Amino acid sequence: MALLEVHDLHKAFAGRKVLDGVSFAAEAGEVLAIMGPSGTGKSTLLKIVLGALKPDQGRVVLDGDEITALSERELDQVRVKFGVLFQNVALLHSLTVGENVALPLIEHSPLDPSVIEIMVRMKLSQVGLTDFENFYPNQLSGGMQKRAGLARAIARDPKVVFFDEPTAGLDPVVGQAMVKLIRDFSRALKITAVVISHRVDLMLPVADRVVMLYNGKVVFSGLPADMAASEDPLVRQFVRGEIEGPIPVIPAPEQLKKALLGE
Amino acid sequence: MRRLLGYLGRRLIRFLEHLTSILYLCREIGYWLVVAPFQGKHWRRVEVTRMMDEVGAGSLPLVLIISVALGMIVVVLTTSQLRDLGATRYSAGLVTLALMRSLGPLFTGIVVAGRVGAAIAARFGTMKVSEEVLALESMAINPVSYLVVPVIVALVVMLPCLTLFAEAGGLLGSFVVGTLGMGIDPDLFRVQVTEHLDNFDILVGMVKSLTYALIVGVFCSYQGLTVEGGAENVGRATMVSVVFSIILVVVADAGLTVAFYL
Repeated sequence: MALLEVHDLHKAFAGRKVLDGVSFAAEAGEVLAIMGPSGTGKSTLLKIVLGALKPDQGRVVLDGDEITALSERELDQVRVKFGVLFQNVALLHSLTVGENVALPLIEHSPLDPSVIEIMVRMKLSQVGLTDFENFYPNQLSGGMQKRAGLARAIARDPKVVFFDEPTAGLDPVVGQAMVKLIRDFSRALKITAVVISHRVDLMLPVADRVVMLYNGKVVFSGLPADMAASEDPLVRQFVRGEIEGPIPVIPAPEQLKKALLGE
Repeated sequence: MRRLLGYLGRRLIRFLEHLTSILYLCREIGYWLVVAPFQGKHWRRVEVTRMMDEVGAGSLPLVLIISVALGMIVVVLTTSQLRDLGATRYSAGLVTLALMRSLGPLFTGIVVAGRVGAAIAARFGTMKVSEEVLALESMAINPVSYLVVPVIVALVVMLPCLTLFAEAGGLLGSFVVGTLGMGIDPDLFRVQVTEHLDNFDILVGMVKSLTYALIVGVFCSYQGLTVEGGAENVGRATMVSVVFSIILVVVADAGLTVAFYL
């Protein structure tokens, strides 16, 4: 049974359709990559799945709870089932790394502070930040901040962890290490990892399945190997990073003229 | 004419949208401040203490400097005018009334709006654009409970205390300049102050400072938590929150002064 189900999501801002009938599912314990060029609705999709935004139409079901039908207070009961690693990491800068990791445990568990302290150390050691408990986020490098964010995301042993562009701003080596860490965590802890990314080179080797969005629609859903071998012009251009193709990179001369001169 | 009406209509709709959102925020604050503690969801003591330190101890030097200077200014202006009428003996009483009824609470409110209000809007705005607020929500931590309630509690507790310090500072400043510089007899000054110090005025000062605490806390938190975009909008929200909270404090002071003393 799917742990996360997204059914026919629609969302528009000021008349512009950002999501146009998106549907997919994530099975328990798998790494699902949601990919696509910039501006295709990936971040909007994540905000709807997290319950931070209401869709115009459609449903999101997480572990049997329909997120899109819940009130803010009811949503909090579901939110404890998942963790999130944001693109900007979003560690609270007024707290130390240890306090950041401890925060969801302090808020939602009756554990004794001494037990929480042990759990924080354990989570930080899992992401290789054993000696950085008392550091503030701005004292860490970008890669270390991402790992601290991951430690916070898995602090309560969630069933699902959402990753929003986990390799953004990282150099190729650290980016590679980050996606490997995600895959290893998913395998070892049986966590469903939903990774939003546009890095085909990094994600295809580690993902179990891939969903590709373009213009708010799902244009591909399947295995990474099938995506790599796809002859669909959209998918092929995206996977190979080609400039020429149906995904416009630079506006055509006529469009540019119209935009500049209004002709 | 049509364009003008369209413009005014759009502005009215935006104003009503803001008003609705602020009322919604007030309802959330009310829930987390009053109802939630009875359901076992207590205020965060560490955050409340930290904010009280920031609002109270952090603002005290500024409040004292301004209130002492204000007392000096008021005593010089009133005494110089009353001297022409041969009524300098009433100067200390006038200064006391002005400081206790309006200037003490008002200037404390303005100082706190400028100093703490700006800090609140900038902090919350930065947290909003860097997704820290979204991160709190995703951890099932209500941002109003985690961020806004400690600010409101700290302001509600510390602003009346700061007002008392401001009133004392103003009286001290006016005493020093009035007796040493304007030739008012120290005993006469003391008697006049004692005669004009009224419990009702102190109570009104407290009511005023509580009102300003809520204005600054709610308005600046709202501005910070509704920032969209990047750093430029954080700066804009900070500026708007300071300007409008000062305007609201002054307007509220006018309203309360009229309500209590007219």
